[in-house]
Amino acid sequence: VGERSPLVSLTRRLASYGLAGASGFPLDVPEASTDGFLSALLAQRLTGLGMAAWEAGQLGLSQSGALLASQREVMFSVLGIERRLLRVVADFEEEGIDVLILKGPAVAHTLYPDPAWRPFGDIDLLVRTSDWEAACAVLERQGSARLVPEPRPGFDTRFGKGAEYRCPDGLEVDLHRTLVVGPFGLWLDPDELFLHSDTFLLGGRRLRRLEDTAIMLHACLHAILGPNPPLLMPLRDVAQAMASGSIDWNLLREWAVRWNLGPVLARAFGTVEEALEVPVPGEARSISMLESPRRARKALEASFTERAGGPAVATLRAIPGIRAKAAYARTLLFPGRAFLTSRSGVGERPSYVRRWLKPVRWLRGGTGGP
Amino acid sequence: VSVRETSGPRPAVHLGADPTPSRFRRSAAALFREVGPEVLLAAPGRAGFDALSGAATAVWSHLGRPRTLEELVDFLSERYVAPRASIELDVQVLLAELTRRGWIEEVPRGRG
Repeated sequence: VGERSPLVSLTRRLASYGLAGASGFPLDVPEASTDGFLSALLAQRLTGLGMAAWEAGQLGLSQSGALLASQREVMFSVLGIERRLLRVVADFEEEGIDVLILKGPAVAHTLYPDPAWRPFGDIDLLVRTSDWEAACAVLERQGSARLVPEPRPGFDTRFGKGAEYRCPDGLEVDLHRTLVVGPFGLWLDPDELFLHSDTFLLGGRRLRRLEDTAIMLHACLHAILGPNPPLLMPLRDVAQAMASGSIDWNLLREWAVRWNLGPVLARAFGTVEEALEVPVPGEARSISMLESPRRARKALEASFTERAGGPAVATLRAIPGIRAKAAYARTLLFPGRAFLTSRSGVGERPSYVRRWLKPVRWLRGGTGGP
Repeated sequence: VSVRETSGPRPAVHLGADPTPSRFRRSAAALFREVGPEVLLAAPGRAGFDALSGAATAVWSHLGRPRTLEELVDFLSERYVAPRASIELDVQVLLAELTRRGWIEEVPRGRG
């Protein structure tokens, strides 16, 4: 979320627009901050909230025309993504692949008062691990190209979170088999999430999505384990889900305990309160107070530091069994050539030696992820 | 002009034989967003977008539930303080165009 400059404060405040307990409205953006504010809204995908606040007379902005133009462009893009989504899902269904729509479209059409409030930039889909290869094949038959190859055959379904594909029209599909990369993604049971699904209507078709409780779980994971500092839109999704009145707090608590997610949820709730300055419900506070296993706390810490291999080492620790750990470590050290090439810099020759030097740098306290 | 195609040539308008069907509603297949004074529309399986503005946006908003031509004309007449007789033909043309482009559809009589 970043440090507290006046621009950051304005952007955070806008991210709370329409939430119960949000304060500081009407929000006046000083003339000198207008360009920076508009850029921040675009970067944080907050143009929809900006338009809503402006139309309600809750945002004073000298360049409202620029905000309108930005939101217009963003919404054209969103409609193109929804059109692509319908095609992708139709092809999955034709192959008998169960698919849940994650994040953007599912959240926009179910949790927000107007889907225009919630822009998104790609398609996120969750499929069962057992359907992984069939789902990848469907995307490839549509002409989509995988952005980063699988490190070794079988890695995706054993240790991976998913794969990103670029469609022929340039749109991106993030195909998931679990919700997040790393230990938390391995501890949770993505197949169980299929038992907690609901539907929403899009383009005359009924699409499957996570239930609100699982949406909130995913938003918390995305907000805290995604980009650092956290983006405001996922934090807003958490707050929006809390406000839905349809969260099964007992189920969320059970997942937090059973899947070692307590520290992530606690940090997400705390960050929502701090960044959006809105109160979280007592049930969320109660989950934040849960005692968490040491390994879960360490895994969360590791996700914020590349030092000593942070996420890679935490993932290694979370993998059950010596043989599986060895297989994971072997893949990190000896990935396939195609993967190595994709991870090399432009004009850089793929090199195992360069890759093997990373653990040495970790030991010396340097940075560099797997 | 109330219906604007954002890519491709502008289509000709053809009025149907019966310009006063029972009711109209938004097509369930239409993907749309309301942005300021416009409604942006996209259709699954079809390239390009449309942008409604002016009275077309007002009609789209009013079609949140099915409406007859009469109801729409009454609504626009009141909103724009215009005599019914002077706008009825324009509304018919607009509905024909929106129907032809697949953004709205006629509700079968006795339903909706």
